[in-house]
Amino acid sequence: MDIKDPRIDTYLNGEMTSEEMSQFEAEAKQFPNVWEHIEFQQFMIEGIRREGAAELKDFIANRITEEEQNYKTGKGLWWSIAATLTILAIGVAINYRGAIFSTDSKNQSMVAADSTFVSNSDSSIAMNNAEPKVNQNLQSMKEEVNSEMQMQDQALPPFEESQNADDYYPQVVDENTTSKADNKLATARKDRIASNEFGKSEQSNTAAMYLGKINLTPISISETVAKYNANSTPMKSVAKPTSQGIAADTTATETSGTNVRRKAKSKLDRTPSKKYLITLIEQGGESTWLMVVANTESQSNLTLCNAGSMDVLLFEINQQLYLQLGEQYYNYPISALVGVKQKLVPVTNASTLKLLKNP
Amino acid sequence: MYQVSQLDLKIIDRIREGDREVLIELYKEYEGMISGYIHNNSGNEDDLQDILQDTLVAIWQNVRKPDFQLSAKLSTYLFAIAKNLWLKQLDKKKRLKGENFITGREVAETADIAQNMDYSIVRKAMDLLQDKCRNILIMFYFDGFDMDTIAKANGLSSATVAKAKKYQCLKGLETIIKQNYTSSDFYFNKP
Repeated sequence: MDIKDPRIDTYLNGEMTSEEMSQFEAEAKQFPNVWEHIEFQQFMIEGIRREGAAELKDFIANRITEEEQNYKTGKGLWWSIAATLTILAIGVAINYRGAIFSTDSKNQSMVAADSTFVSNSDSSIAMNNAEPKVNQNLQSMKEEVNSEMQMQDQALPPFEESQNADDYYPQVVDENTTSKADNKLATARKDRIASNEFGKSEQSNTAAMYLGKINLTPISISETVAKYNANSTPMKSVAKPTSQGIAADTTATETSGTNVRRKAKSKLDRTPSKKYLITLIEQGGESTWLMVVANTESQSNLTLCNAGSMDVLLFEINQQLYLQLGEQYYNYPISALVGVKQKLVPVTNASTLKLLKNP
Repeated sequence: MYQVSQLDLKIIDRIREGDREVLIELYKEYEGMISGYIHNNSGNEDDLQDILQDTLVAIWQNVRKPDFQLSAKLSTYLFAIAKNLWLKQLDKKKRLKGENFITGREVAETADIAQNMDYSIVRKAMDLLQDKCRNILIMFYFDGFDMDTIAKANGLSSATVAKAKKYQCLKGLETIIKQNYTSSDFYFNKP
C-alpha cells in the first residue's frame, strides 16, 4: 500500500463501514509511511473542522451581539435614519412608525412619506423655525399612524385603498431647500421619525439592479451634509429631478464614504420593473421580517420591520426583490401573499450572490 | 419510529440547506431554557453564551451529517447536547482546580489521538491559505457540503474542478504546516 491508495480518501472522508475501517487500519498500519500520512491528514482535517466550528461560533456570537445592539439602540437608530434621510430631502413624514421608501421608474425621483408627506415647501418652513407646525403635523400623523397600526395587526388593507395615491407621491424635492433645512429639521424632532429615501436605477434581466438604499447607519449629521454636498451619490440622485439625477450618479465616487455605494453610469439608463414602496417600522420583536401590504404589477408596497442598525440596500433581479442588510443578502418573494409576514430568506445561491455583490 | 414535527423538520431542512440564520433563531428560542440549567449548575452568563454557541455548532455539524435522523424533539436533543457540553466543561474546571476527578471515559478521551495534538497549528496555517482554499476546505470538511455546492459557491465550473481544487488546497495546507513546523510540534505528548 502507498499513500496514493484511493481507499485512503474513502477512509478519511468517513465513507467506510466500521468493519471496513478496522480492516483498512490494520492493513495501513503495516506501512508506517502510509499510516503517518493518514494521521497527518486526520490532523489537518480535524484542525479544519475546528477552524470551521470557531468560525461558525463567531458568526453566531456576532449576529447575537448585533441583534442585541440593534435592540438597545433602536431609538437612536430610527432617529438617525430620519436625520440621514432628511438630508437627502426625499420627503419626510414625522411619526414614530417608520419610513416609506419608494422607487419610481418614470421620473427617477423618489419621494417618501408615511401617512403624511411633508412636501418640499412644507418641510423648509418647518425646518426654518416653525416648530408648531411640525408638532401639528406630528399630531395628525400620529393619529393616522395609530389607526394604521391597528389595521396592520389584522389584515392589511391595500395601500391604494387606504391612501390617496397622489398625496403619496409629491413632486420632486428641491435639493437646495432641503439641504439648508437638514440640521434644523433633524434636531427639531425627538419623536421617532419616519422618513425614507430611495435610489433606483438599473434594470436587466440578468443583472442585479441596484434600487437604492435605506441608510440605517448612525452617522453624524454635519458629516453627512458635507459628504453629500461634496459628492454626488446614488442616494442624492434620488432626490434630484430626473436629468440631474442621472448626471449626479455618474459622478458617484467611492471617496464619498462607506455609506455610499458606487454605481456605474450605464446601469442608470435602465429602470426597475416595478416601484417599491417600503415602510420601515420598528416593533418590539427582534427578528427582521417583511410583509407585502399591497401588490400590483407596477408597484409593491412593503413593510420592513426591525431591520436593525445597518444599511438596507435594495436590488432587483428578474423582478425578484433582494435586500442587503449589513453583509447579508436576502430574497423577498414578491409574489408572497399580501398581508402575510415573511421571514427574510438569506440568499444562498452562489450566482445570485455574485450578481448582488457586483450590481 | 419517532415522528418528527413539521416545525422541527423545517429547521432540519434549513440546516441541511446551509442556512446559518436558523441557528440565530434557535439561539433566541432556547436561550431561556438553557440559561436556567446553566445558572442552576454553577454557570454564569459567559458560560451560557459559550455553551449555547457550542451546542448550536454541534447541532449544525450533526444535522448536516448524511445519516442524521432526529429521534426526539429537537428541543430535547438540543438540551441534551447543551447539558453534555456543560458537564464536560464542569469536569474540566474541576480538574483545573486540582480535584481528583478522572473518570474512565476521560482516560479513554486522553488516549484519543485527537486530544494529544495541537490543532491551533492547522488553524494558524489556514490563515496563510488563499481565502478560496480556506473556504473550500471548511465547506467540505466542516459543513460537509457536496462538491456541486462548493463549486457554485466558489465560482468553480464543476464538481470535478472543485474536487481537484480541494485536493490542491489540502496539499497547500500540508506544505505550509510542514514548512513551519516539525512533527514534534503537532503533539502535546508524542506517543
